[in-house]
Amino acid sequence: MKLIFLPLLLIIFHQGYAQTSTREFGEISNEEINMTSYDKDPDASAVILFDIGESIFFDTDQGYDIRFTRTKRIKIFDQKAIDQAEISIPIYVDGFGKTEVVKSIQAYTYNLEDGKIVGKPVDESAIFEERRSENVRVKKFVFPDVKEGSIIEFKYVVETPFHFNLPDWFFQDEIPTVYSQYSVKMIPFYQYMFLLQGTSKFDFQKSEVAKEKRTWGVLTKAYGQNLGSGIEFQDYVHTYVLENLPAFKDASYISSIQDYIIKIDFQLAKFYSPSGGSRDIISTWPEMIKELLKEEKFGKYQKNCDKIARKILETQIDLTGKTETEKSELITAYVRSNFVWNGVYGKYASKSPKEFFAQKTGNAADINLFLASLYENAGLEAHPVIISTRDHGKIKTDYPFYHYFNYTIVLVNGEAPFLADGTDSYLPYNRLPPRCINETGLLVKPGTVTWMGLSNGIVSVDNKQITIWPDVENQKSTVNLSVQANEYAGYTYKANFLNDTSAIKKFYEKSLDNIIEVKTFNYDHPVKPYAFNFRGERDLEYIGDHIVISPFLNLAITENFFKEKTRSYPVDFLYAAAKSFKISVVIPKGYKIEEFPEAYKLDNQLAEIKVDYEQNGIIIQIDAKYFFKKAIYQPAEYADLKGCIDAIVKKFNEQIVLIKI
Amino acid sequence: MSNAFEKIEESDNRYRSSRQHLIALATRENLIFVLYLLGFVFTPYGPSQAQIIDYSTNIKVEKNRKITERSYLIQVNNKEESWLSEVGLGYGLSEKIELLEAYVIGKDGKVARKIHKKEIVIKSHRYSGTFFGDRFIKAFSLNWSEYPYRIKYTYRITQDKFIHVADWRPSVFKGITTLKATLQVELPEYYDVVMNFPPTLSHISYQEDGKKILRWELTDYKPAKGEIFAPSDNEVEPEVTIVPHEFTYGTKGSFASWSSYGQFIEMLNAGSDDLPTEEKEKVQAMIEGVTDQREIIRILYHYLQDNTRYINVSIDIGGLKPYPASYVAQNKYGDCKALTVYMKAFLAEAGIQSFYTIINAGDNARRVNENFPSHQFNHVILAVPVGEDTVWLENTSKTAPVNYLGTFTQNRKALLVNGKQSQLINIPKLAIADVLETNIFAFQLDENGNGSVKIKKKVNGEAFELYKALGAQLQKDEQKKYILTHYPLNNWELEKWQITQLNRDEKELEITLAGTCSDQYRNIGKYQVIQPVMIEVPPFEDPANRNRPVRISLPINRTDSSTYTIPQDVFKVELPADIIINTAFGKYAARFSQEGDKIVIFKLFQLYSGDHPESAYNDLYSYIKSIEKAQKKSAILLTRLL
Repeated sequence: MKLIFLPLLLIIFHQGYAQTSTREFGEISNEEINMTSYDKDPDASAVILFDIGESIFFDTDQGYDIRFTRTKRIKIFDQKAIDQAEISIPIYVDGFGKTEVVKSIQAYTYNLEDGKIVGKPVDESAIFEERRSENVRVKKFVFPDVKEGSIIEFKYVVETPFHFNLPDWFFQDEIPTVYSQYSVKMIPFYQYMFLLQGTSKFDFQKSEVAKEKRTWGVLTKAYGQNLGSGIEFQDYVHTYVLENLPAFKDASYISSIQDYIIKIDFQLAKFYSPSGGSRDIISTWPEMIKELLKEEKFGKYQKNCDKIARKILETQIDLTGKTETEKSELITAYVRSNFVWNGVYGKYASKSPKEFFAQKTGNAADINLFLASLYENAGLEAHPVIISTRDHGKIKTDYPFYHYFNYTIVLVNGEAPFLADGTDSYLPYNRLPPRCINETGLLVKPGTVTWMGLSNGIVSVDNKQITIWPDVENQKSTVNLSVQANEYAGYTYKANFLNDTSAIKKFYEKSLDNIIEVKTFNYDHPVKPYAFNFRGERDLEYIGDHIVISPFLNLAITENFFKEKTRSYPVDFLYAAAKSFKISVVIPKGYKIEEFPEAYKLDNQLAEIKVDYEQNGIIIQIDAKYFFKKAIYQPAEYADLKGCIDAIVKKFNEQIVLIKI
Repeated sequence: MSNAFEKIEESDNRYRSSRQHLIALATRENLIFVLYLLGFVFTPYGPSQAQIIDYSTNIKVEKNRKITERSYLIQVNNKEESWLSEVGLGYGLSEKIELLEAYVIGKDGKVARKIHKKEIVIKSHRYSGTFFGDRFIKAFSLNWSEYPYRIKYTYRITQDKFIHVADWRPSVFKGITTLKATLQVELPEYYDVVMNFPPTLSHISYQEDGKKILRWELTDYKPAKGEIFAPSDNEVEPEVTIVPHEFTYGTKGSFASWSSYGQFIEMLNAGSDDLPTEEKEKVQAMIEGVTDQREIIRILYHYLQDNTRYINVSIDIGGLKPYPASYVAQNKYGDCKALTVYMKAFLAEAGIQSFYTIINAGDNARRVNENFPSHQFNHVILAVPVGEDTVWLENTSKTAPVNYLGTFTQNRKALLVNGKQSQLINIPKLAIADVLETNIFAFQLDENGNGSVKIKKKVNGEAFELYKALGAQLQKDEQKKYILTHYPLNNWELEKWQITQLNRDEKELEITLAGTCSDQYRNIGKYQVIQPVMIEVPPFEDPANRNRPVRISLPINRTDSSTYTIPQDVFKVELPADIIINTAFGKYAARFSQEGDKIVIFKLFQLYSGDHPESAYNDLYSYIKSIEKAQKKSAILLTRLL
């Protein structure tokens, strides 16, 4: 990771960099149209020949808006990449009259026809606008006449009034990229910081002062001197180039592609007034915290919740004589049961407290800022914490960027401080839902910059008790299965089964037949382990004159889910998890044990695995567990982790053999 | 039709897992010949005691407009059911929608809150298979904090264009009981309709103020749960369908007979054969000197596949009326209708007559009600008569062999559009020979069960379609991942694989796989055991939960032969007994033999297609169970010779 401030005064360096004519929109070379594969990735179905973006600040009546121009050329090699021809351009509408506007779209498909390169345009009538949500519109079109060998190229211009949204740039895509360039023409009134992810340096980078002079305000020139109130300035042009970027390949068990793909982010840092003086927009964490506390949809929202919160505490939640823990449980439970999360994340509230209370539904910030207010009014110290959810990527704590954050939770700072979330009912009051567990969050409290670790280090445990009674006469075993799962293990069962006994039955039908008497416990109880049990049957397996029992019922890992030999990203399991099995097998009359599988034990920094067999009269007892000690494993640990899983697959799928006496 | 929109795409997740991706790919070559007959959007399913207390639909036809008013009173008992409070009302750009009321009723029976205008959100209605459509969703939430509560909302949709008066079902959400469902239809006195509804649904009709009034009411209706190998939900649920005798939708049409409906489709398609001159010349150039009709069809079909693709842009009456051939000529894309009229125009240019054929596509699609001419279709194919025979063309697929109708359209009725001669015809079925899948496994193992495995697989039918999509759509690394995840082998590494099709019109693929394997002997007591590769049998549900008759739409036909070459003179080998299970539903057989150092296992599994009464399910179930049992007992025992 590298942070580079864009300085206002800059040493100009010129470096010869050949801009080949083939990067001009509409100029397709024979070489490109005749390409049949990309030499650096011969299996690639398509390649981005170039992707060039430019952001400039242009004059408007109110000041400056940003104009983003993108030109992209893609070569299609085979049918697998044909969906590259479907283009979506999202635009943001703030709902208060400010909106991004797509000013123009030009798009052509180029094919070789009778030895000539022929371009076919996308007709304007075939460009559609979709209303994705209240705030997001999408311009959509499909390139015509796309086949193997086609080149598709588009150029579009988006104008945005949102200076905070200086367009970011993804250098990497799901197909390889030959050339990716982004240039930003800065005006001296705004200073941005940028952050480059996924690589440490550019193939080419240049910063220079534009030749053209621009003016702000009224210029009155006399003898070469400006006597007016306006000023004259030049743009600073920053250009970043990366070449020959491989396709970004998805991997399972990663937190988010946002954490790994090569991209550059911008954040507005400072505003320099043309008439003198400057203002930090956001240059430090303390500044950001101050801003948030003043913000209508954040700090003020929370304050405005107080009146309603006090009323609720007077009339609906009785906290008299309660301990701090009891209070916490009651308050969180109240919010969880009285308000429905609408599934939308958010660091800012989406409505007024009054509306939220009336509508009984809101986004994560609506709910959790309200929760914070309830805690505060109940006499507990509580502050919002802003975080980035897992799918939203990780926060880089060195750089105070607003856009890192997309969700608000609460720190309750009592005798035993904890983080709280009111959106989800499946967990104890002091646990965050899995989507929130993403390294760290920022405490929004005046006068301090505190980072809160979000993973609690608590191990989720899934206990299974299994009893197997083989019935030789009917060639069946009767099986009792009882499951108790706490923390995130319980959460997962609750969220998947929704306490529906028929869903539980269906799930376990791959292990057992004729499942009956499904009972569940503690679904509505956030703290106690979620539990369920039932009875089922299983055909006895015979091999020769032996009875073979599979005591684990295929309920442990049966197949290694890691297929690749190596790995470049960390494995992110979200939480440390243990699975334990206590199994009893009743030896039927007239039979004895021919052989146990061997016991097994492994205990290292990554995992603990153990399997023990013991005979107790007519009962065989198996005590087994596997425990992934870490939530996150580094790529260097991958091979060992994969090996652990191989061992689990082997040892947790072995059989007991019984033989006639 | 309330579940016509089961799939609402929530995001353009370009990085979804390859398996989901493949499923999406395999099912993409798709439909869209959909009419938006019912406006409701959400059909999730959850366990629930929630109830639809009252669901009333009021349809009025007047002055060639159709005004539909729907009203819902729903009880929500707990937070798990609060998804019912998320309301989404679907409508088209050319329709007028008015929300008449929407409020929450608290425990005390009083109105707890009313919806405010600013809470209502409008967004595009996106569904899979459609690139762009001009339909929208009006969405709002009616949540409350104290349970139980009730929500009530009523809305009205006015349509100028319609072809059905009513497509009504008592169920609103899957799995949720409707306590009272009513349908009232008011028609002008001289407005002729044809109705279809099951005799179990009673109704009344009367005249009032020069209007004809029809009314259905059903109480305590519990929608059945989906069952495997059974007619689909929308075939078993009671439904009232009312179609006008005559209607105008783009052009005048009539449901008097299949012939008249076919004529309407033909009128709607009129002028869609406008192939531009250059394309006509291309056709002539391609078929120059070719006289064999089948060969001409093949050449033109290949041209279609290589140059066009499926993109559905559905605007206004585009659900029924195709974009013309000139549109496809320009864009080289279109939906099933556009691609079909384009192909039809090609053939016409070559002097070959072909017929636009509308069909209800899907793996287990609802059967066409032959006695009730109406719009019961969602897809189009092309029928090309050649002599006594017909060549069938699926025009949305870039990879299907010529004259291949796969799992998506096989074995059902379809409406062949041919002026007055338009009629329902039978689409041929995939017979048992058409779905054959053979696997030849060759294991070469040392005395510890390590070694190599080679597999030669030939696939037809459904597996053909799957592997065809895999080869055509997935990158190499995604293919490998898919095969490793879905192949029923343990402890192996795939090293090489190849998917071969003799030629593009071959209805069979050959797949060869090679890799290394380890630990292929299970230690059980004094034995080491080879567990032969299992043939996967479909999961069947417990007979106790079974209510519907049996329908097997697609047969299964699989043979596996496995050879295990093991070191000579190291083991004594004991083979299980051969087995043959022969039933009315299919056949299973397993044969075991040893020749020198080779153990050879042959397995066969067949499941025949067909319809059987509900009472037959027990037998079918025990057939499947007996196969599972037989496979469990098929272990080969090796005893080490000292």
